[in-house]
Amino acid sequence: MIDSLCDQAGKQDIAVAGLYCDFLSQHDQTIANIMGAILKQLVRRGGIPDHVRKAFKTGQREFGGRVPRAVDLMGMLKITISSLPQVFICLDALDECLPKYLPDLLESLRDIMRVCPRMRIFLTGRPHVVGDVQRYFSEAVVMPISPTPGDIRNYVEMRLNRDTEPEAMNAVLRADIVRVIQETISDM
Amino acid sequence: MARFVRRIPIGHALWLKGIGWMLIVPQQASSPRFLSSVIGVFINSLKPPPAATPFLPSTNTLDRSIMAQTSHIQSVSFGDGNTGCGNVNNISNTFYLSDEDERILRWLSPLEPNHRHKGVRTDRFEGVGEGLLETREFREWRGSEEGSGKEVLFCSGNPGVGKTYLR
Repeated sequence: MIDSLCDQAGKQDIAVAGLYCDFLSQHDQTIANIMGAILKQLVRRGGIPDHVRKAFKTGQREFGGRVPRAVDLMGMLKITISSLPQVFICLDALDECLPKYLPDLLESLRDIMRVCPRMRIFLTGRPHVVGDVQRYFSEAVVMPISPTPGDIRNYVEMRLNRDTEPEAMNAVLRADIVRVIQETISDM
Repeated sequence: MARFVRRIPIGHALWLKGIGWMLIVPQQASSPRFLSSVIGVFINSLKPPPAATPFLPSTNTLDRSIMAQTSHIQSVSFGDGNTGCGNVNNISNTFYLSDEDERILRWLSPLEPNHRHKGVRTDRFEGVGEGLLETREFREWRGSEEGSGKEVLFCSGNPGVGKTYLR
């Protein structure tokens, strides 16, 4: 998704930032770190804006280099996003974010959205977080994702073509593998 | 080229005189052979691309030496694994020209989403999930008006259905 938006961004003036929430690093994925990571991607493009540089210097000078707080990062994000024509933020696997951070994360996104209504947010997650998303974004467009039978067949066939022991394969076995995997997945 | 490269002090910036470009040599890129190939690519890329095939770095060595233009200087960076993509736009990725810029970015967040994005991008099977871009929901979101409340698109699905790998 990030790449599709980036492809479009190449043609238009669009900025895209994305983050994969990850079960394994969920303790590092605090609101401050997530907001910082989004900001980091946005400012990479056109050089670091003066207001961010200034905040960094102030932080270094006054607090001996302390890390920025979520509230500071939110402020910088709002200024940065407002200065860009259009920003897309993609967050993958919301359900892998620590449950205690999720409400804060959604609240922060809503807060930014109020100031920057041109922004678009793309989220993914397991169905059980739909309720959380809708609590903050009642009009959110919800789309259930399932692979199409064609996607599955193409993928399985690609993997079979790369099989390291092709002599162990025959047409019947091959057809069986493709059929069974497709049936199993459509029940997921 | 390799002999020339061996003399570059690793960890320093190298001015390519006359063309106004700066090459930053990171610690990791210590192999002269690797460096010389990168520099070769870099120098080749200075030539204007033919009209029919614009310079579009994608999945090879070029990925590490994509160019970007900044207000006063042009430079190239490579080998740190973060310059790949997931950025604002993959055609003209940006580099950090000074230590201070690097420090600011690290200060903003210790997370490096681009690492993960690179892995996803490599593992993705082309074509899968493209149908999403044609759906009514996607278009509704993509073209939604300000304040309509439809600025958020949530793709839900069970583990393994391919949410991460949507293109």
